[in-house]
Amino acid sequence: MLVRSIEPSDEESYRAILESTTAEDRYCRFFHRVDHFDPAEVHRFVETNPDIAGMIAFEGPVPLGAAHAVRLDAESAELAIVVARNARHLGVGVALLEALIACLKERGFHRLLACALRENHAFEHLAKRAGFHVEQADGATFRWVLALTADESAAGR
Amino acid sequence: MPEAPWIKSYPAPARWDAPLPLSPVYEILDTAAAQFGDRPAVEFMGKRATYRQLHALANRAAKGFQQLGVRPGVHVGLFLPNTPHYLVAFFGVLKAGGVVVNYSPLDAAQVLAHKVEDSETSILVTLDLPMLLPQMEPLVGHGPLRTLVVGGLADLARFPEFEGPHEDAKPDANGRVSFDALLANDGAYTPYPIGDPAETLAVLQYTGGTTGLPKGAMLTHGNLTAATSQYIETTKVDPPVLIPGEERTLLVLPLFHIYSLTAVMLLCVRLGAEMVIHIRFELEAVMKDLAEKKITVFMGVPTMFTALVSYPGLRELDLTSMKYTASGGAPLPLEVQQRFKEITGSELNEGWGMTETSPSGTFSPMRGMRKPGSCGIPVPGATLKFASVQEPNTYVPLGERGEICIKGPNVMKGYWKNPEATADAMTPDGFLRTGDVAYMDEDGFVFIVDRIKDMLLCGGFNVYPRNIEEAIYTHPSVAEVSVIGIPDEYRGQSPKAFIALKSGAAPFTIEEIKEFLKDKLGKHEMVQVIEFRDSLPKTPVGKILKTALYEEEAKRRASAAETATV
Repeated sequence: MLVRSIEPSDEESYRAILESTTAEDRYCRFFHRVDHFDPAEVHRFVETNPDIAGMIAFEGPVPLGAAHAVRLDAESAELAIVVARNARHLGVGVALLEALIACLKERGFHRLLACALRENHAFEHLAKRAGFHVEQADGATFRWVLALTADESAAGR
Repeated sequence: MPEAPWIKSYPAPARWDAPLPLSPVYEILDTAAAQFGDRPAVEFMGKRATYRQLHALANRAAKGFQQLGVRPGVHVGLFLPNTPHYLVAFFGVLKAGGVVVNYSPLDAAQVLAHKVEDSETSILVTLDLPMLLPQMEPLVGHGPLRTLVVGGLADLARFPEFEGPHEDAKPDANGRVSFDALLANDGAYTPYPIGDPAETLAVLQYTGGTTGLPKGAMLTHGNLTAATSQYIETTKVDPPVLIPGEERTLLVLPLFHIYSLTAVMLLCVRLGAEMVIHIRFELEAVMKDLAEKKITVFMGVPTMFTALVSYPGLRELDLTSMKYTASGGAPLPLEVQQRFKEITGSELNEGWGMTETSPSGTFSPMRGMRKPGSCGIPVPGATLKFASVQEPNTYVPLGERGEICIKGPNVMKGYWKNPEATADAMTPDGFLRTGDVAYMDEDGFVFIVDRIKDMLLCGGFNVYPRNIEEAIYTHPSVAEVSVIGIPDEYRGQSPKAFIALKSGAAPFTIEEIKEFLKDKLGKHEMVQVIEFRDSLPKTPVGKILKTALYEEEAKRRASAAETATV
């Protein structure tokens, strides 16, 4: 499996990953029903943008998944991750998240946040493995947080 | 958490550790017929049946069902409004050895089809009413459903005798058999031993979820008889308030709902109470009967009590006959509770529960300590723990907020043919996760503070925004939709949809979208308000922010209230 930074030329691969997901996957990703993907939104997640870090995974020519972090403020970013339907349980999410975390540390981010539905057990498993903890439970959603620096960890944030 | 802090709050002679014998559900009727045979059991549209007559009809229905092939393992649907047909068919199915599957007349067509298929309903009892029979006729012969037992309000002319020649109940070429034919026998059905009541399924009660179609909660004979005994125990006071064989209830909550089934029907049969049945909640008729028929026991939902305390002619009515009243299905506004006490002189009791708990969970003690804003203490035999919302596999100490987890003889066996959902709903130590967040004080009183499911309570029914979103999304003009609950004075909450239209699409009216949704959503979950937006609020990665919609709505309401008061 190859994991690398996402590039503008990955637009079709990223679209293919999104389109391979189930309606349930997409609800977990967007918190609403999505059957068609806005080309502008797909483009936003592959273009070069200092406020967005993105990773994509391939097996040969086949795109397996993508992970993004979008800047919230000077120190924090929000995580989104999507794994192709046929690539689940292969460690794609773990590999993408590890690469993304390394990239965010390099860029000087202190915290990575993720909003996930409570019933999203696949993400819960991934988040716990990566060291996230639930910072806030808000009705049907959890706000997961991962400290990216030793200071943040020590502060318990 | 200290061991069972609620025990000290039990008012004598009620006991948390009272014996809760598990037995076949139909024995509740057998016992009532033996003890109160000549007492009136049912009154409906001016016709009455005694417990002996109701028992005889249930026995005849049992034999009729057996002639149609009902035996252990056969699932029989009841798609009925509140009429005597429900009681006769319910006990008849169980006596015949079958399992009752409850169907809601409020359900949309696709939900009804799902329930028939999923529950493996092969026989279904309904009435020839426009809102019922045409919904089920197309499903006969496609899938498991083979036979419709069809009654009608005209049957009541022959109620409760249903006299006629005896003949075997046999479906016609269209799979139909009349309710009359079901009862055209001597009632000598073949009893089946049910085995362990804690294990043997009595009712499949479908309940919604935040995702997907409804799941069937497997309620056993033991669950339902334990729940009935729990209600009996919680109404014990000294001197006794409820006297077996002397009470009269107004049964207006829908019997297809677990609250009405257990807390009204089974409890009242157990008490040998007369059930004055109303087919629907019509305030004028309900108020008239409450007063004129000297109703002593009345269970409702907050919507009903809100209407009752606001009734214009209230002062002219004598409602002091009411000795035991309870509200469930949704939180009861405190002012309604207080006003009700002023009018009737009796406390309006509140409890908490859910389909999966048959549905008892907590109750307000009739005497002794009561706490405003609390849904009471755990029912007899039930233990409550509170799981950390952040770390669901750990429990929080007494007084801290957590997800209510409950264990007891009233807790369902699991979800029908859905071991994954069953496992997901249970804690490692065998407690049911309820989705409601609450804390318990040092006296064992429970205070509900939040919900971890995206669910609304509309007029006593659970409504899931995601189902509404999925249905609205199928409209060709809709690009994005998110549904939240907005305050509704009468129904508690109502669904409001925020909609972003596709580029160039014309907006529609609420009436137009309701018409579009009528086959897709149940009446109880229909969207009531829509608002169009260019786009919906989202997080930087594109997740819809429902919290922002709730906040905007709250601000708008606060601002409207200020404007109204300056």
